[in-house]
Amino acid sequence: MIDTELRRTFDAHERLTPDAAAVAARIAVGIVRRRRRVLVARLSAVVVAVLILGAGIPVVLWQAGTRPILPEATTSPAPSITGPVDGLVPAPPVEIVIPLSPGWLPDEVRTPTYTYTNANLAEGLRTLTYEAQPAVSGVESVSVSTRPQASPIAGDSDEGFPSWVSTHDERVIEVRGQQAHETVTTSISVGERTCSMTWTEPSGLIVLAIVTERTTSTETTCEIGERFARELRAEPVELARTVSLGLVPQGYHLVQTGTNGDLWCPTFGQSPGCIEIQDGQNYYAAENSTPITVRGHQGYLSRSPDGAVLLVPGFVRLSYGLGVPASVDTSDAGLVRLAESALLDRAGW
Amino acid sequence: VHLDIVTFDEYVAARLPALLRYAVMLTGDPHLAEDVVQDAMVRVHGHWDRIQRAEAPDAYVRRMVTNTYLGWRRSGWFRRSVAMAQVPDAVVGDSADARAARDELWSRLAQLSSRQRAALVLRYYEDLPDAEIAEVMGCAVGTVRSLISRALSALRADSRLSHATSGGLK
Repeated sequence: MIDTELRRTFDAHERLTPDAAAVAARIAVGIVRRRRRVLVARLSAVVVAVLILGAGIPVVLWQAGTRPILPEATTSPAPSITGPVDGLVPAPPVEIVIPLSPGWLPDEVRTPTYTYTNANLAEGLRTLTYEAQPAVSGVESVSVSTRPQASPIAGDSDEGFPSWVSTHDERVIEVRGQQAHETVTTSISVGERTCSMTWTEPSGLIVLAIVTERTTSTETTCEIGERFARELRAEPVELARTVSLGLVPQGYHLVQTGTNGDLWCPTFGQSPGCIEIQDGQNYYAAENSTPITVRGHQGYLSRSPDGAVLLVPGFVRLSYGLGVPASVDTSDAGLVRLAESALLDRAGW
Repeated sequence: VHLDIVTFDEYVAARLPALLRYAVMLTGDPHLAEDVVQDAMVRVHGHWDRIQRAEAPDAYVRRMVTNTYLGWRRSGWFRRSVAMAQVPDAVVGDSADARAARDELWSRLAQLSSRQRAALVLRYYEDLPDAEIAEVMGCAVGTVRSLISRALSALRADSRLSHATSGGLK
C-alpha cells in the first residue's frame, strides 16, 4: 500500500537530518543578526525621520537647485566586446564611488574580515562597510552611507526601541562642521553597542555613519564612532564590484551593484524583469536542473513558471524572475551567453 | 503541552531534532531544511512570550516551519538554489530493491506541489489527523483530503509510468 511505502520512505530518509547542534548555533546567530538588523533599521529610520521632520535640529534638506555633487558613474566600452551580440550589448564597466572615505579606522577594521559595498543607483545610495570579528570585545563594524536626498522612510519614530535594547541616548553633536543627530543604543542580550550619526553636508549630501562595538557595557558613549565620523574625508573611494555582466539585454539599466552582485532592470529602478548576477560561491545546484556548460565549467539551469536560475557552482549565479521583456533571449543558449559574459576576478573563470 | 516555564533555549534543545526531521521531509533536502528551520526559529524567538503561553506551542511552531517552507517555495525558490541531497549510506539490512524503491518514491515526492507534499508529510510522517493538518496548513479539512488524494494519485500514476508497477506502488 502506498501509505505504508510513504511511511517507510520518510523513515528511511530521516538519516538526512542535519546535526541539531550546528543548527542551534545558526539560530543563535540568526537571532542576534535579526536584532541587529531591526536595530540598525530602527536607528536609520529615526535619524532620517528626524532629518525630515527637522525635530529641533537645524539641518539643510536637499532642495531643487542645490543637488549635491555626487561623482557619477563613468562608462566606457567593455574591453573585449565591442558591439551588440544577439540582442545583447556590452555592459558599461561602471565605476561606482562613494563621495566620502574614512580618514581614520579603529584597529579592528584596519584589516577587515569583510568589506561590503552597495550602490543603489536609482536612489543614489552608496554604502561602504568594514567588518571585523573581535574575539571578546571591540569594534565589529564601521559603515558610512550617503544619499543625495532624504529617504522617504519616516513616521515610525514614535515606536520606541525594541525590547532588547538595554539603554539608549540621543543627542546633537558636531561632525565635520555640521550639527549631527547621534543615537546610541546598547543591548546586553545582543552584546553590542550601536552608535549612529547622521548629518547633512554643505553640498546637501546626507550622510549616515554607524559604528557597532561588541560589548556588554550599557554606557551610551560613542567616542570611537564620533572619531570615525569626524575624520571622514571628502575623497571619493571606488566601491568594489565582485561580479558583473559583460553583456546585458539592450535597454537594461544597472540599478544596484556591490558585494552581492549586479541587478540589471528594464527600467531605472527595481521592476519586474530584472536580471541578477551573483557570486556562485555557497550555492548548490537545484534538484531537477538541466546540466549545461559555461566556459568549460559544469553548470545547472533550473526553470520554473516564475523565472530561471543558472548556476555555475563556485563561479556565478544568474537569475531572473517574471516580467522579462519578450525581446530578451531567455533560451538556454541565451542565458549561457549572458553567464559566459560575466566578469569575475577568480582563478579558472 | 503547555510550556509556561520553558525558555526558548530549552525548547530548542528539546524539539530541534524533531523539527529538523520534519523539515527534511518537507523540503527533501538537508541544507534547505536547515535554512527553513533556522528562519522559522529566529521568528519564533521574536514571538516566544506569546508562543510559550499558547495552548499548543508545538503546533504553532510546526505551522511556522510549514509556512516558511510554503512561502519559500511559492515566492522565492529561484532566489536560492536547493542543494542536492547527498544521501548517506543506507542502514544495514535495507535491501537494494527496497532502497531503490524508496529513493524513487522520494524523487517522485519532489515532483508534487509544496502543499501536496506538506499534507502528505503531516499525515504519513507526523501522523496528524486531518483536522490538525488543516490547522497547520491554514485550510479546510476538505482541502487537506483533496490535496492528499491528488498527491497519492500523482504518485501512483508516476509509478505506473515509470515501471508498470512490478513491485511498485498500489
